[in-house]
Amino acid sequence: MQHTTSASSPRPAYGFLPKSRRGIINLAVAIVAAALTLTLSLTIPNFIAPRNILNILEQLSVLGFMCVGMTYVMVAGGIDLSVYTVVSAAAVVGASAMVAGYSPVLGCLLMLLVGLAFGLINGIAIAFGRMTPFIVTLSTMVLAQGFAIWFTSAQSISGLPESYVETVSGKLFGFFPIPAAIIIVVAIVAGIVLAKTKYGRWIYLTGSNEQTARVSGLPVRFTKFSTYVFSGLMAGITAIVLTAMVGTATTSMVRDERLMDVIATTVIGGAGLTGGTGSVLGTMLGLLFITVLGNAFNLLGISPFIAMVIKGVILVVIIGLDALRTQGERG
Amino acid sequence: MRAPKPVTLRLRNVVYSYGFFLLLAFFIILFSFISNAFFTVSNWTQISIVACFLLTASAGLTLVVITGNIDLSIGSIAYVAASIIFLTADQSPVVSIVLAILVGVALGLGNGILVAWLRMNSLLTTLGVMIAYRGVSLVITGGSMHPAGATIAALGRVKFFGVLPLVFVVSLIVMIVLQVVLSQTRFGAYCYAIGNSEPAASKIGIPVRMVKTLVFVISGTCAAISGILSTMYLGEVTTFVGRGMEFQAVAAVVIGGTSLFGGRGNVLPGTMAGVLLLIIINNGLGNLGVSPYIYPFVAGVVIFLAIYLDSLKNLRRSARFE
Amino acid sequence: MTPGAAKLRMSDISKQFPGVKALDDVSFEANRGEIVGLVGVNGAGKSTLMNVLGGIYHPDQGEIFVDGAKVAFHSPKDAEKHGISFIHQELLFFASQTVAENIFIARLFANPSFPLFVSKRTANSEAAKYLKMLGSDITPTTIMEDLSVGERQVVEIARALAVGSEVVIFDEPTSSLSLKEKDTLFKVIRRLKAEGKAIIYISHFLDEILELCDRFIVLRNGRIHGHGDIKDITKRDIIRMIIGRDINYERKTDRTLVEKPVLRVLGIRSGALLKDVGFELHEGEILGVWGLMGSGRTELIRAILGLDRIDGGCLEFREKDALRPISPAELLGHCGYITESRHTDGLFLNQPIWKNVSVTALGEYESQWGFLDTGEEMGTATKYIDLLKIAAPGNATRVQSLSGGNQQKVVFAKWLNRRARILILDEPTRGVDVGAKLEISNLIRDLSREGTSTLLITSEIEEMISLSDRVLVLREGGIVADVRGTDINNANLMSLSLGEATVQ
Repeated sequence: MQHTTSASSPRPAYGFLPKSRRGIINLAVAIVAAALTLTLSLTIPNFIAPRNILNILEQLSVLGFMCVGMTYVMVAGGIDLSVYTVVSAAAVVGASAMVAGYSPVLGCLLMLLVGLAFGLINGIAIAFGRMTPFIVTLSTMVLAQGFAIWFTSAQSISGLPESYVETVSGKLFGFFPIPAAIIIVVAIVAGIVLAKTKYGRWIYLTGSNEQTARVSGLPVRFTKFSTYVFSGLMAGITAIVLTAMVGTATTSMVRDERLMDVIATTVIGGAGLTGGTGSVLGTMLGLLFITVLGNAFNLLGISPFIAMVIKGVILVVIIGLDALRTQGERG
Repeated sequence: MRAPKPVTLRLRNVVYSYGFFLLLAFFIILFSFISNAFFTVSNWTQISIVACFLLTASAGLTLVVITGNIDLSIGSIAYVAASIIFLTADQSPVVSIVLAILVGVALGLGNGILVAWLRMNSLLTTLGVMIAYRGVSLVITGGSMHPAGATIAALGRVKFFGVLPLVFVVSLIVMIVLQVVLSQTRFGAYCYAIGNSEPAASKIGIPVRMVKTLVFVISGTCAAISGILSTMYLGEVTTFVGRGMEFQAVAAVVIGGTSLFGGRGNVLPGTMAGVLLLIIINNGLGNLGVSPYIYPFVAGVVIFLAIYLDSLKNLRRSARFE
Repeated sequence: MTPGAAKLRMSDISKQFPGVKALDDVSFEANRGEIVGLVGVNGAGKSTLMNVLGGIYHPDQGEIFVDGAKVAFHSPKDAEKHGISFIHQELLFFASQTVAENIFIARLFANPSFPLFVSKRTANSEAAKYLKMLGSDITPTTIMEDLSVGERQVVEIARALAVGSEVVIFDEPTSSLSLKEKDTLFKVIRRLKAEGKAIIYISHFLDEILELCDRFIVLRNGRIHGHGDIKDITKRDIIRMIIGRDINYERKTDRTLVEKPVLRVLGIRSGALLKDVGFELHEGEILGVWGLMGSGRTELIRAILGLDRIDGGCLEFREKDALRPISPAELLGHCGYITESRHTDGLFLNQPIWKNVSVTALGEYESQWGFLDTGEEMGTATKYIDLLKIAAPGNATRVQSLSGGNQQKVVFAKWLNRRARILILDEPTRGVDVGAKLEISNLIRDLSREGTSTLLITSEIEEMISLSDRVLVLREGGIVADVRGTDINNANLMSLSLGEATVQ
C-alpha cells in the first residue's frame, strides 16, 4: 500500500450555481459591480445620464483590447508585460507614416504590424525557445519602449490626418463612440473564439496542464505562440484607437500603472497565473467594475488615488482567496 | 582524487557565469577610449549618484529572487517612504528617516506574511500591493511635488573628500551588509537552500516561512532606504520616486547573474555590476554625444541578451537533471 | 539504554487500511553493525512498515523500541530525533550549494570568533571527516550539481551520519546508479556497518541482498514469511519465500488468438537501459511486460513512444493490411498511453470531466462553422460516465474532486474516445481502490475482446497473471522469456525476473 487515495465524496452540484469556487468569486465580482452601479446611479445625479455611460464605454475601450489579449495569454498559462510599451512603439510608427503623407489605412496597418512583430518575438522566445514568459516579456517591454524613444527622438507626433482622427474617434449614428463599438465587437468575437472553438479549447487545456496537453496530442507550442501574437495584435489595435482618441502619438501612450490595471483586471475577471481559468466575459466584467469605480469616484469628487488603493486591495484579496482554495483542494 | 573536468567545459561556464562582467568591462573600456569625459572623477561621482537608488533597491530584491520569489512592490514602497518624509517634515530629520524606514519594514512584513504564510503567488501579490501602496502615497502627497526639509536636502549634497557622495556610501554599505549576510550567515545559506528546493528545505528542517518573510522585510527596508536617498538627492518628494524601478531592478538583478529560478546569485559583485551596466550604458552614450534617444533601445537589447543567457544556463541545468 | 538490547526493535506491528491488512503482527529487530535485508514483492508491506518507522503512519497495534526504550513516532522529525534516517530514491539536495553546506545545512557551525557568522572552515573539515568515514574522496567544497547521482547519494548518507543517525534505512538505493556507483555505495554501506550503525536495506535485487546483508526478512501480504542469516540460505530459498506456495492466481483468460501483428518492435536500444528489445503485439491481445523495478519496462514504453531518446531499432505499425515503418512520434498518435502519474500527464485537473474526455477527438465535435458542439461533448462524457461507472455527480464535475480510481477511469475514457487501436498501460491501477481495480481490469478485458491491443505493465503479479494473454519477462534491459498460456504463473514470472531458470 504505497499510495492511499483520499476518496473524497464528490460535491453535490446545483445547476444554477457556478461549479467552482472561482466561479463563485466571479459571480460575486459581477454582483458587487452591479450593486455598485445601481447604488451609484440612484445616488449620483449624472451617473446614469447617457453621456456618462458612453463616457464609461469610451474609457473602457482604452484598456479593453489589452485586457482581451492578456486574457488569452493568461488562460494559456503565460503573462505579457510588454503589451503597454508595444502600444507606444506601434503608435509612433503608424503615426509618423501618416504624418509623412501615407494613407491612414497604411498607417493603421503599420501599427498592427509592429504589434504583431513584438508578439512574434515574445511567442517565438517563449513557445519555441522555452524561455520564461515573465522575463521574455519584461525584456521586450524595455525593448519596445527603447524603440519608440529612438524612433521619435522622444518627440510626440501630432498633425495626424483629420480623416483618421475623425473616423476612429468619431461617433456611430452621431452618438455611439466608435472605439466603444470596436471593443464590443472585438470582445464578443474573441470571447466566442475562446469559449466555443477548438482553438479556444487548446488555449484552456494548454494552460491547465501543458504536459497532459502534449501527451493528448494538442499543438501546445503553436497555441502558446499564438496567444502572444494575438496579444501583440491587440496592442496594435489599442495603438490605432488610442492615437486617434488622444490626437497625438507619444512614447508613453499608456502609463506604466495601466499595465498593472490590465493584469489586475484580468485576474479579477477570473484568470490566474497557473492558467486554464478565466474568460473574456469575466475580464470585461472586471474591467467594467474597475472603470465604473473610477468613474464614480470621479463624479463624487473623490481622489482617484483612493480608487488605486481599492483596486490593489481587491486584487490581493482575490489572489488570497485563490491561494486558499488551491490549498483546500490539495489538503 | 577526481579527474579534472575538461577545460573547454570550464571555459564555457566562465562565459556563461561572468559574461556580463566582460560586457561591463567592454563598455567601460570602449567609452574610456572614445570619450575623454567618461573616465573622469567627476563623471564617476555622477554615475555613483545616479546608480545609488537602484543599487539599494536591487540589493534587497536580490535576496527575494534568490529564494525563488519576486517583489514588484519595491518602487511603490520607495515612494511611500518618500511621502512619509513629506508627512513628517515638521519633525526632526532623524525621526522622519527612522519612521520612513520603519514603514518600509512594515510594508515588507505585509508582503512576507501574504507570500510566506498565506502562500500567495509572489508575482501577483506584490503586483496588487504595488498598486495599493502607490495609491496610499499618492493620497498622502496629493500627487504633487513637495520640497523636502532643508536638512534632508543638505544631506543629499554631502560628498566625502569632495568626490564620494553620502547617498552612494549608504547604498554601498547596504550592499556590503547584504552580501555578508548572504555569504556568511545561516540565514544566507537558508535563502539559497529555499531557492534550490523549497520542499527539500522544509523537509530538512529549515524554517522556510520565517526566512521568506524576512527576505521580504529586507527588500521592503531597502526599497524604503532607496526612496529616502532619492528624496535627499532631489531635495523633493516627487511622484517619480521609485516609478518603474521594480522592472529596472529585476532586469539589473537578472543581468547580474541571479537566476529568477532561485538558488543562485549574489549582491556583490553580481547585482552591482548589473546596475552599473544599465547606468553606464546611458552615461557613456551620453558622453559620446550619441543621440540620447537611443539609450533605452541599447539598454533593452542588453537586457534581452542577458536574460537570454540566463535562460540558456537554465536549459542546460534542467537538461542535466533529467 | 538497556544493555544488550537491540538498536531497533519493532514488535507485533499491525496496520489496517480500508480493505487491506497491510501489516499483520510484524516483528523484527536490527542490531548495531548489522545489515538487514528487507525483501518482498510490491504490496507485501515493506513500504508501510518503513512508513511506520518513519513516523508517517501510526500503527494500529505494536511497539517500537530504540536501545530498549519504548518510543512513539508522530512525525518524521520524531524518527530523526531518535537517530533514524532514510535514504530514498529521490534525493534531497541543494544544487547550487557546496557539499559541506548540503551536509550541514540545517545545523551550520557558528564561527568561534564571531558567532553571528557561520564557519565554512569548520563545515568543510567536518564534512571531510564524515566523507572520509564513508571512504569517499568527494571534496567538501565541490558544488552539488557537479556531482553524479551516486556521489549525491553519498553526500546524503554523510548528512544522515552528521545528524547522528544510528539507524540508516536504504529504500531501493541502486535503481538509478551505474554498476560502478553501486560498488561505491556498497563500500559506503559496509563502512557504515563497521562504524556500528544498524542498517536496513530494501531492494528487489536479490543478488544485492545476498552480497551485502547479514540477515534477511521476507514480507508477503503483510506478514513475515521467513527470516534468518544470509549465510544459511540460497537465492532459490528466498525466492520461494517471496512467492509462496499457497496462492496461485487464477488465470481468467485462456483464449486462442489469431496472431495478426498490429505493432512490431525491432531491436530497440537505449544506452545501458535497453538492449536490443524486439517483440510483436497482436490484434486484440493483452501483452504483459513483467520485470522488476529497474528492469527497463517503463523505459521500453517511453522509448517506443518517442518520449525518451533511443539509440537504435525500428517500429512497424499495421495500417490497412500491411505493416509499415512508423516513427515513435507518429505511433504516439495511434496509441492511448495511461500512466500511474495521471496528475502530471494524464488529466487536466482543474477542468470538468467532459473537457478531459473530448480532448483527444476535438475535431469530431466541430460544427461546420468551426464551433464546438458542447452538448455533444457532454453527451460523450455522460456516456463514458455510465459505461465506466465513474462515480461523479455529473459530467461537469471537475476532475480534481474525484477519487483516484475515478480519475483513472476518466483517463481511460479519454483514450477510448479517440478509439485508440493500441492501449499502453503503465501501472494503470496504482493508487486505485480495490473495487475500481476490478472494474478497470474488466474494462481492459472488454476492450481487448473488441480488438484493442494492449501493452500492460504492472508491478502486481496477480493483475499480470489474470489479465495477460502472453507475458514478456524483462531483466536488465533485455527480454529473457516469452511466457504463454498455463506457463503464466507466479512461480515462473518471479523466478524468471529474479534471474533463475524456470523453477517448476
